[in-house]
Formats: sequence, structure tokens, C-alpha cells
Amino acid sequence: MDNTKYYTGSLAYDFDLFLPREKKKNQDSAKIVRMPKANSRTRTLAVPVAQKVGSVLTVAFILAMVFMQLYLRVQINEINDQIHKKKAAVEELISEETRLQMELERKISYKNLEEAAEALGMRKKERSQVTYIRVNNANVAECRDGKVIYDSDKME
Amino acid sequence: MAKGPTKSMWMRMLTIMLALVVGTFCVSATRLAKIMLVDSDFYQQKASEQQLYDTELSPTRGNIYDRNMNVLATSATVWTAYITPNDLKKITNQSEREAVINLIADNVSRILEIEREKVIECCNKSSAYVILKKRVEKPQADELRRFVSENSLGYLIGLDESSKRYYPNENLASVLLGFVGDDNQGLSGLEAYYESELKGIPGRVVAAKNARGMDMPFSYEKMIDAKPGNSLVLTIDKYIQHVADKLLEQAVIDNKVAERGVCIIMNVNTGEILAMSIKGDFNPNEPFAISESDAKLLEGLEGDERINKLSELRNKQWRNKAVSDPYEPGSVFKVITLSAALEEGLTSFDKHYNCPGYIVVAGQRYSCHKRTGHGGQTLIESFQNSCNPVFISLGQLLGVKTFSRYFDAFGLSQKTAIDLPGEAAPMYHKEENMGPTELASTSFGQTFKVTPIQLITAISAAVNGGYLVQPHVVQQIIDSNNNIVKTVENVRKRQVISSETSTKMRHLMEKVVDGGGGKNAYVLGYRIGGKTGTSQKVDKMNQEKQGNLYISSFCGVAPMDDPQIAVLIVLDEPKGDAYYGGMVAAPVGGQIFKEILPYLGYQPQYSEEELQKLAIKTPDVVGKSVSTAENAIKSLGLNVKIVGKGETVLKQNPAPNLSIHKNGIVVLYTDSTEVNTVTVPKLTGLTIAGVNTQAAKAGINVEFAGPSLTDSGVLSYKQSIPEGTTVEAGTTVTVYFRSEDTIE
Repeated sequence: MDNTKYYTGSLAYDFDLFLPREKKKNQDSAKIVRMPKANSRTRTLAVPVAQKVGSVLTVAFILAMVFMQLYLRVQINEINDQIHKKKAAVEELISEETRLQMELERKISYKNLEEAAEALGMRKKERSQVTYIRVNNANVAECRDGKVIYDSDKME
Repeated sequence: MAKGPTKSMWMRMLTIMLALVVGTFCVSATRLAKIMLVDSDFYQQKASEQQLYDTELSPTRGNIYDRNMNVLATSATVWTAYITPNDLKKITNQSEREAVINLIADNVSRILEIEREKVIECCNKSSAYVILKKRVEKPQADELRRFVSENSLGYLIGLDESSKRYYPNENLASVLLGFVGDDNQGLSGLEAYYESELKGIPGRVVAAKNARGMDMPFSYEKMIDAKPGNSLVLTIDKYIQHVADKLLEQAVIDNKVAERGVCIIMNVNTGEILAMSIKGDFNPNEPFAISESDAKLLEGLEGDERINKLSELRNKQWRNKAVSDPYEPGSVFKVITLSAALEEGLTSFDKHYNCPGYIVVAGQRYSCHKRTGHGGQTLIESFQNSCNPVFISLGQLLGVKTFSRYFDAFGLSQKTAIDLPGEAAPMYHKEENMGPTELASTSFGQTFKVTPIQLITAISAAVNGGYLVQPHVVQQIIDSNNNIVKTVENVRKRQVISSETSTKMRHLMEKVVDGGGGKNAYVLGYRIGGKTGTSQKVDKMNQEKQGNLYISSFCGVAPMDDPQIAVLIVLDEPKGDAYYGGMVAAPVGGQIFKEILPYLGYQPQYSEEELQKLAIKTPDVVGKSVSTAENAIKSLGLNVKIVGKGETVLKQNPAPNLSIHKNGIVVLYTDSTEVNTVTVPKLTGLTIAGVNTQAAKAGINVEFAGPSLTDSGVLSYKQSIPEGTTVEAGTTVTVYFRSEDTIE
């Protein structure tokens, strides 16, 4: 295993101190050829324009991405909040439906129905009041209210 | 003079600094190790509390359905309204605070229907959270929200979500169903017994929260859904339960029953309980409210005495008397003694017995309820007469060992294991402690106690072919998607008597209703059997030095050619005109059979004699000419009364196709349909002929109920419309008859 890469990758310690030192080569100052200084005006115009534009665009792009992320987060939060509210509303309505259903059940309980029927002078139907009609296939019976009863239904 | 620190000084300084650094490091490391290794759970918990929020999701409690999937109990969301009085105190201006309190008191008391003073009291408390009202339903909650929003009182008044259990049928089967507490936990009845099935499993939401304590969705959120509770499908039939409740309640009122009544309706072949009614009961929507009669018992009581009495009354109304209160069954138990004697071949239908009015066993004299004695009688007559000496003799013939064996076999020496809480164990003479006198008293149903559910199960075994079945009230457990989680099988525990003996018992029990002590349970067109019972509450009489106290009961079975349904009525301490089981409990049994047998699909089969006595149906004469109508009515043996001078019948009373007895009256209106009124006379304490005469005089019709068509020696004891009521001429009043035979 090559530990060197590991050592060189560490930021906490300067592992170069433990590596074998390379002998410094003698630099021949005579061989150094100094370039003539460029005209400062030419240097200012040639390099920075593209760099500046690039930098500005990069910063703008990064800022746009950051703000877009923030905006998306805000949007997600808002939608999430709406989902929670809608879910709560649905649950509340389901619950309210149960309550109303129970209220209806209570109002039409056997006890209340019997009391109401008795108050109206009604009595339970007797066996002699019931007449069953047997009809052939495809026969139908039409009631006064327009309701059609097919032969599969029991008719009283 | 030294130019600077010497080397040794440097060394000392470095040593000290090194020691300080090492010391600091050691202390920090030790502290860190303690935090990370020893107290890690504590700090993890603190960190979680700071960075995460954990909310429990309450599961929806399962429903309770009857056998036809009618809802008997369900849950829905409600709210708890609260106020934060400490925030109210932050209003420093006195007059401003007073104004806010008055505004809250006026509106909150109106919206939540609570007393204004109570709201003011809540506002003045030194507390961060005071409940104004629990279980606030949506309409009230919405109105409260509007009020809070309009007046910007959101910092003072709020609503917390909670759950409420609804019992839409109110008192129907209330003792059986039980009720739940504030925390939605079952406290009695099926709600308590099946708590683990009904309550469900709570869910959890764990999520990260930001600095403001708001949740951070999609980051570090974990949600475990709550699992809704399973639902119960009962063997109870809502209609049959309603009939049992209605008729038992009427019987408790009519007979001034002091210690509540019980009615159990059971399928004799499967052990399924079709109805279990206890009166007086309670409304499970308001389980802590007591009845008006019980409230009177609290008048004049204060302090601990009042609290204790209130607690006693509440426990009494919640108690399931059918399974928790053993009682002396009296003569109903003779079914068991006779089954054992027939099975052992110790008696037969043609055996003759003599009853001098008493019998002496081991020097102890036991009287028959008929002190003068029944004289010579067959076994059938002995059973019809419920003759104590004969049954003591049968007990002696069986002997302690055999008698105890049958007592055990009929399941009377142990609990039935019905799926209800609080089942009481029986109290009886064990074989080793049973002498001749104990055997004698036990033979006719005294000096031991069993619960009503034990007794009806034993009677069912006597008529269903001899099989002891397992009584139960739940037939299925289903999940929230209606998938079946568990099906409760019908269980036959053992065969107690042979099929032949069971057939004989059916015949004997039918004879009791046809012409014995149970004749008040007779229903025209149906074959019903049964046995009545009247037992003294000797222990209570001795304990409280009271006069005679009785328990009146009747156990009926129908149809006797193929028994399906058993009905047990127990009235504890009737204090009305009569106390004999045959007079107060048997009529209730008959009325129940009359209502539920057609509902269960058993149509009446009339004999020739019964057909002749059947009521006539009123003809439809509306729109016909007066003469035609008059002829049509008279040809049926009915009387006619014409109101008006018109030529066409505009209205008739009774309406067409209703039952009307011979010599009944049909009122025809010819001028207008404005009714002609009459006053209902007193129709009680009369014979059938007497009632007919009074009804004809008054211009009303009567319908007879009870054994009136089979027995001439009956008297009316109740009328459906009270004496003195003004009614339309021709109105039908139901008159109830019963035999006044004092057979126990």
C-alpha cells in the first residue's frame, strides 16, 4: 500500500518533514533570461476583461443556484404545509361525516322510529297485508312514482 | 546580572506548561470520556429533544358492529377547548383585562354551553392551561374558532384535538358494550374486555426541527403510521336487542322492580347471544350520569357519604347483572333436576306422584308453594304445577353423587368463560358438603346461586339435544379494511343428556306454557316451551331484616319442534301487584317471542281452534256507498257507527286491513273527515267479556294480548292507552291479559 498519497492528502500535519529531502540543484543565475516588462496598459486590457466577465458570471451563477435552492426549499415547505392542512381537513371532514352519520343513526333508531310511528297512529304491517307477486322473466312492474322494479326484485 | 532566563528556568517553565497542558488534556479527556461513554444515553436524549420532535400518533379505535354490520360504537375527532389564564394576567390594565374576561365569559359560555361563572373562574386561575370543556364537537369548535379569530384571542383560547366514542343507539345494549374513559381506554363491558383488539397501535413521527421549533420536512423525518384497532362483529342482533330492551324496561317499570332486570336471548344450538339487556342501565355517551330515580337517593347526602353513594350507584348501573350477579334460580332449575332424573331412568311421563303440600327430609319440613297440596298428579302435571315435594323426591332418588355429577355436567359448578368481563363464579353445595337437606333445597332451585348466563346455557343443553354450548358475544374480529382477523367458532363442550331425554324435556316445557305456570308466555300460532321461577332472597332478608323479597324469572324456548331461541327473563325484587315468575316474567317472555319469531322468519302456524279465534281484518270501504259499506262490515260480524249524513264513506276507523275482534266497531265518516272523539274507559281487572262490554259502550276497539285466546280464566292487567284519554272513535286499545295462577 502506498501510504504516501495518504500522508500527502492530510491537512493536519506536514508529512513532508518525514520524507527524504531532495538536494537543491544549483541554479545558474546566468541562465536566467528575464523577459522585458510588458507595457502596463497592454496587460490591463488583455487579461482581466475575460476573467472579470467569467468571474462575474460564475458568481452570478452560484448566487442564482443558491437562491434557486432557497426558493425551492421555500416552495417545498409551503406545499408541504398545504398538504398537511389538506390532510387535516380531510381527516376532520371524515370525522365529521362519522359524527353526522351517528347523529342520523340516533335519530332513526328503532326506539325513535317506533315512538314516531305510534304518535302518527301507525302500526306494524301484518302478514295479511303483504302480497307477493311472482312475475315471469322480462316482466317488470312500474310503480306510481315511476320506479321500475325488475323481476329479480321482490315485490310487495 | 543575568541577561535573560537561564536554561534551567526555561526547562522549569516548559515542564510546568507541559504539566498544565497534559493536566488540562487529561481532565478534558476524562470529562469527554464520561460524556461519551458513561452519560451517552442522557446526552443523546437531550440532543434528540433539542434537535428532534417526537409526536405520538393516536390510532383510531376499532368499531363495534352487530351481526348485521350495524354500527353500535365508533369514534370520531372532537376537541378540548382550553384557556391560558397566565397570558391573560399579562394584560396589566385592570379595566382592559376585565373587559376581555367578560367578552370571553359571555361568548364562550354561549358557544360551549357551560356556565358563565365557570368560565370566569377558569380565567382567574393561576395556571398556564385550564380546560374549559372536553369533547367539543365540530359545530361548536368552528364557532369558537370564529370567535377567537374575530377577536384576536388566539393567544388565550385554543383547541386540542382528541377523540370521542359515539354510541348512536344510546342505551341499547349499553351494559354489554361498556364505555371508554377520557384517554379512550375501555373501562367496562366489551370495550374493556377487548381493549387490546380495539385500541390499535400508536404511530410516531420523529423529525428534525429548526431553531424556531418548526419541523424540517424531508430532512431527518421518520414516520411510523398508527395501526387502527380491529373491529368487533358481535352475535348481537340490533333489532332483537331493541325488543329485549324495550320490553324489559317496560316490565321493570310495570312491576316496580327494585334491583334491576335481566333479559338474555340466546341461540340454543350455537351459544350465540342475540341480545343481552340489563335495566336500569346507562347511556354510554354519558356514562357518569345517573338516572333520575338514582339521583333522588343522593338528596340530602353530603361530603364523603355522597361521593361513596354516587360511586356505588354508578358501579351498579355499569355492572353486568347477567354475568356478574349470581342468584337463586328457583323453579327454573327444576328443568335440570328433571333432565337428570329422566336421563337416569328414575321417572317417566306415566309416573304418578302425590303432593300433600309438604315433604320432610332428615327432619326438615319443606312446603310446596301450594300449601294445601296438589294431590295426585302425573309427572307432566307435577312439572306444570312446579310441585316442590315431587322435585325434592326426584333429587333424593338421584342421590348426592349423581345429582352433583349432572350439576357439574350442565356447567353450573364453573364459570361459562363467556367473552365478557367480571363473570362471577357460582356458589353451590359441593358434593363433599352436600347432605340430604342441601340436596333437597338444591333440587328445587334454592340455597345455591348461579348467574343468569350459566342458567340459560344449562337450559339450552336440556332442549338442544343435550349439548352444552359455549356462550359468546363476539363472532368475528375484523381489521380496518374489513378483512377477517379471527372467527370465533361455535363450541359444543360436551353432551350432557341424550337426544331422547332432550326431546322429552321439550315436550314437558311446552306443556308448562300450554297449560302450566308459564301459560302467560303463550303466543298464538307458535310452539313455545318454558319454565317459571320465583325464589326468595333469603340471605338479603336475613341480613337486612326485611320482609319477603323475591326474584321472578322465566326461561322460554321456541320453536319447540326445532328449538332455536332461548329467552331468560329475571326480575330482581318486583314490588308491584304480583311477584310470581309466571305472572310478571312469563308475559315478557311471550311478548318477546311474539316480536322476534316473525323477524327471524318463523311464521305462525295456526290450529283450527286458533284460526276461529283469530281477529278479523277490517274491510276497505272508503269511497263506497254507506249501504254497501255497512253490509260489507256487518257480514264479517262487526258493528258499524256512521258519523254524518253523507252517502259516501270518506274515512273509516280502524283503517283497512287491520286486526279487529268479532263484535268490534268500525266508524264510518260520511260528511267530513273531522274526527268523532270518545274517552277510553278503565279496561284492567276485567275478564275478556268485561273488556268487550266496556269497549263497546265507549265506542272503541280492543286488541287482546297474552294468553287470552286459550284460557278463559284470565284477567286484564294493562291497557295500551290509559283510562281517561280522549281518542278517535274506533281507536284500537291493546289490552293485556294474564292468568292469575300463583304457580312458582
